[in-house]
Amino acid sequence: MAEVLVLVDSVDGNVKKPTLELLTAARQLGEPAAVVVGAAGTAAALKDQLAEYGAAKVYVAESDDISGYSVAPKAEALASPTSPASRPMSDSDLTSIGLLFAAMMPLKDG
Amino acid sequence: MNIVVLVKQVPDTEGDRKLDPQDNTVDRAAVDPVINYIDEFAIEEGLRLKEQQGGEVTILTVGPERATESIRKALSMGADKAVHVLDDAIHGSDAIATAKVIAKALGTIEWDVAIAGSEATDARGAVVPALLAEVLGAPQLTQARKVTVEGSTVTIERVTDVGYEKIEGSTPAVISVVEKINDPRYPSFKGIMAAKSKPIDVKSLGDIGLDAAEVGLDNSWTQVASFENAPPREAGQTVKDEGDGGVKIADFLASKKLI
Repeated sequence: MAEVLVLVDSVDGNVKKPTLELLTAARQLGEPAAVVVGAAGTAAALKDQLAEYGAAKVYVAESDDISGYSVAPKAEALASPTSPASRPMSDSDLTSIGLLFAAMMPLKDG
Repeated sequence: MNIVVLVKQVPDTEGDRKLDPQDNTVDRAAVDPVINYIDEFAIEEGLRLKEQQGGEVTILTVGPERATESIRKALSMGADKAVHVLDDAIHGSDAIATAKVIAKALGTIEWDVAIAGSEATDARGAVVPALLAEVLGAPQLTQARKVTVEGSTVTIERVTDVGYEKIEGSTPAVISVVEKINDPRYPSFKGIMAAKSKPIDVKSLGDIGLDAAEVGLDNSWTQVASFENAPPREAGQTVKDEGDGGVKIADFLASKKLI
């Protein structure tokens, strides 16, 4: 089944609602995998909540330096688990389609 | 400081906007074109930076022939000159292909900051500034509600849904601004007259050194596969209160599973 990556947005140890909605959407497409990028300890606080909403796997990229950057580390983290070099090859990889979801900041209509 | 403002011409949001069923791209003839609303804030921010730092403001537009009208308006607000990338091969380019065109066009201009509106009202992807920064390898300072420049350091307040982040980067940098960052000026009569003689440098893909095989509908990574027009608005239901208005409202909400 296709693994569907969902970039996790969180504030103070709570997963934000758009991320939970994306996990639900991802469940309809394949197997949701959450990608947590943040300071050390971020994923531990979010893991149970992510699992509750259907994340079968949680990829974690943690470093205290990450919080000093806005975008680049998240893009790198999303790119790396899907790269063939970083994953064991299997037959399922040949048929699975990597899909990425990232919650966009809600913008006012207009 | 050399300031470039990226300006997109879009169909007026007041009009009845359509996609062209021939190739599922924006139908630019269906509705009168205007400057993308949020780009006016980008132009204003560029003009303010020029007033503080000196230098010149160049408008950069990628678009069809008629985009000249939007360029003239931007010039009438006070920008100094413009570059218009005009090439039929660009038609149908998606966000990535568009970012490549803008990046190549910037290669022909001396610039320290490139300022864009945070999104355009036609496609609403809000990704071109970020893609452009990636193609250029330049810092991306997006969704700014405030921009400060000191020497070669640009600091912005980036709007998030829980507050704002202070982000800094060094020039050359790509900035996108949100509406309400400022109050865009109206063109003065003098500005409108002056705009008529300001230079617009029209460039083809060949002039900016980009192969036509990298852009256009057929070479874009994404295309609109199909579309449906939004259904017309249905008339609402009027409930007359005859002492049971509350019950009727409750029934209505219950039928929509809201209570």
